[in-house]
Amino acid sequence: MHLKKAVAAFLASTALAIALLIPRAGLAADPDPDPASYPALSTQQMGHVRHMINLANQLDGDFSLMGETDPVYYMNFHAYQFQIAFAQYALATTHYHYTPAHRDLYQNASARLIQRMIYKDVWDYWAHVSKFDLTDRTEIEAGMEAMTTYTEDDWYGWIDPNIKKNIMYSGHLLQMVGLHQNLFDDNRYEEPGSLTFRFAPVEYGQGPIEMKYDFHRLTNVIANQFEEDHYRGIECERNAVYAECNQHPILGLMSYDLENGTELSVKVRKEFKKVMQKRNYIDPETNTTMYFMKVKEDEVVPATYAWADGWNGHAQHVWDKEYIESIYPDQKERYFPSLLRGWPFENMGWGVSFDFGFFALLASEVGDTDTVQTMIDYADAHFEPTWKDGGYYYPHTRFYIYNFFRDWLGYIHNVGPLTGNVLVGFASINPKDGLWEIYNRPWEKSHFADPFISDIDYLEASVTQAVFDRAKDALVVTLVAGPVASSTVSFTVRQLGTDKTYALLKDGAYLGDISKGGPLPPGTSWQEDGSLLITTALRESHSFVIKANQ
Amino acid sequence: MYRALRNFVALILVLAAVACGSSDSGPSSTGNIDPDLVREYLLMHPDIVFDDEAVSDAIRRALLRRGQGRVAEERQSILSAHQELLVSPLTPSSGSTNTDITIIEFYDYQCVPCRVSYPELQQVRATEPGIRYVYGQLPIYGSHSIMAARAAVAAHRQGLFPEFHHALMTIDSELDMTLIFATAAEVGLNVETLQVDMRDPQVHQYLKEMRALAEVLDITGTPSFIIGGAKLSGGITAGDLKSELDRQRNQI
Repeated sequence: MHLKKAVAAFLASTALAIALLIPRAGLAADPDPDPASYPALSTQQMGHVRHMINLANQLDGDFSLMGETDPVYYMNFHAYQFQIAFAQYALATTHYHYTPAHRDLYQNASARLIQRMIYKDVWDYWAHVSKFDLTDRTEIEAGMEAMTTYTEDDWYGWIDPNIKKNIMYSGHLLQMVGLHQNLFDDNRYEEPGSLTFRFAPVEYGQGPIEMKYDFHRLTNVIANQFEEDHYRGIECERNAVYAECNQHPILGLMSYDLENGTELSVKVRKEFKKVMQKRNYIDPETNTTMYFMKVKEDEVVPATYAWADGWNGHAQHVWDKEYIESIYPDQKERYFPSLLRGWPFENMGWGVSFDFGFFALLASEVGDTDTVQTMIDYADAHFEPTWKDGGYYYPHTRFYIYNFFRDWLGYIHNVGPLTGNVLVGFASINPKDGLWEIYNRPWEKSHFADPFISDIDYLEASVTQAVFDRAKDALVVTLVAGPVASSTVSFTVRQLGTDKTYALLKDGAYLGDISKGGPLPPGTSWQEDGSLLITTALRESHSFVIKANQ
Repeated sequence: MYRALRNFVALILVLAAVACGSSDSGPSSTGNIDPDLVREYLLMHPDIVFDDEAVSDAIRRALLRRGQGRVAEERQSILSAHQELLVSPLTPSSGSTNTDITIIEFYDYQCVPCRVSYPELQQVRATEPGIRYVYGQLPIYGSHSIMAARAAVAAHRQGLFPEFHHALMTIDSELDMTLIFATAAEVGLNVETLQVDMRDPQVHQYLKEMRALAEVLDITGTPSFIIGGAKLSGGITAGDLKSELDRQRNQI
């Protein structure tokens, strides 16, 4: 008995000595922080993200998979500007909620999307659209003579896409630039001329025209228009104010205020809300968003469109959360389940393609996760999901603009590129209050001094989560393989505390300590610029925790 | 009398418009006609440029040529600003560096029109040894195109770009890493070194800069060719290329 006790005591003391000499090496370690307790992108969500980044990375003039420009109207509800803008918003919510400690990929994609946004093919529709008034065209079709008193603008239009009206373009650009600056602390768009629009139509024989904007000028032009228009909203097309188009510049102004300490958005929100209420932009009887307001006639055209409610609601929720959440149940009841399934060959109206996508986005923002999941399942079942180069999307169908009908079972099968490339993916990624948090709980400047990862080869690896938990002084990163097979991948960890010692854990196993001057675990090395390089095999998903020792 | 003068001015305008569109700054063929008089007449009767079909057409064509000339000049100026990139040790090229004409091809190894144009380009390169040919990597067909472009630049470091380029351009299937590395081994490349070079940040940066050049040249797809100040887009035949070369030579 004594012998047994002595052996047990010897073994225990030996184990303790080994544990002290080789602390934790290769053993399961303290699971705090546990990567599973932080948001991570699923395989499908990561696919949506990669698809949007793939679109961002196309050449400026390459619109493959993004549909066509309408030959009659020159733009439509699936126009490039909307795909590009909403892709940036979707990537913004991804970065904010899942990968705040993985900056370079999202920053580059955001800048690419802004660059694509100011490429002429995206905005030069305005040279044509500025010439006519669609609301009058409707009257002409109804047999009424209209536009009998043409102004100079009516005849010639104007090419500058920001200077007046066209808030359906300029408002998005403002939101994009504001988000870029907020999320990446990157003020490149404050430089005069950083948003230069170049119009150089060789065929007309005229010289190139350059319109130079920057974040400040764009903000001022839009803020002034709100004021000039007595806060009734800036026109998208001529004579037509859409509520949803005016939400995006409001979010852009909120970003501007955050960066510059101004209060431009405060007045616009207050006054625009007054007009919305007074003029029933959202009908208090039906709780649905108007179609548009005819300016010359001073007439609100009511509507019951899921897209209008989804589009306006997801953005207005950012600054009018309680109200939007109060009317959402009525809207949902109105559109579901009839939106998803009806009589075969039932005319769904020309909007169904984006009715689906925009309502899914609203559902995600207000946190109706059941509805979001139902719609994602529906899209996966009926919209022919496709994987391409690591990206996941729903390819647009032929005739997506003018295809009004369901299939023989009564399901929607018509998908436009805005819905298929961006909106469904955005809805699947966006958590409850996803956009609300970006604007109402913005990152402080100290966020940009926290440790983060960079320089991961996008072709070989995807980062499904990258979070720095300040309370635990720990960086949590999870990688999965990318579309290009590779035996190893590397990533760089920046801004680790130089006077700290960190424990490195991989998939919960302790690999060793990291400190300046100390021995490093295998697969890690200090780089000349003081950052840490970590190299790993990546045949399957791996999580890393780099935690400061207390 | 008035009609005769009007016709005469119209003729002068046509000649002036043509001269305006050409790069010939030599003596005017208008002889002793006083340009100030023509100008004065025009200011008094501006409608002539609209009323006379030949005049308005000549003016339109002259404006078009002026616009095209402006674009060509811009391209030349962009290329001058990017000379360092175009002669970088990472940029594969062939032919004489001491030449008046350079062809830059922007291409992707998975682009079908690029592959179809390849034998046509080989024909031109064989028959036009005096031109310089620059291989501009513009991988736009996804991840494996980017990897192929990295591999091509890495192959250039080993001095085997022409062999590797030929092999990739004549493969009739989609690329993956197995195929890229097998092709590299087949042409005699050290695959291990190739893999290291493919990860070199300098190579990645180089490809970014080449893409930025393509974008500033307003290239929207592959293949695209910059020949002097001209841009040709899409698949090309040896005949197309020779015609453009002849046109360029006539301008020099």
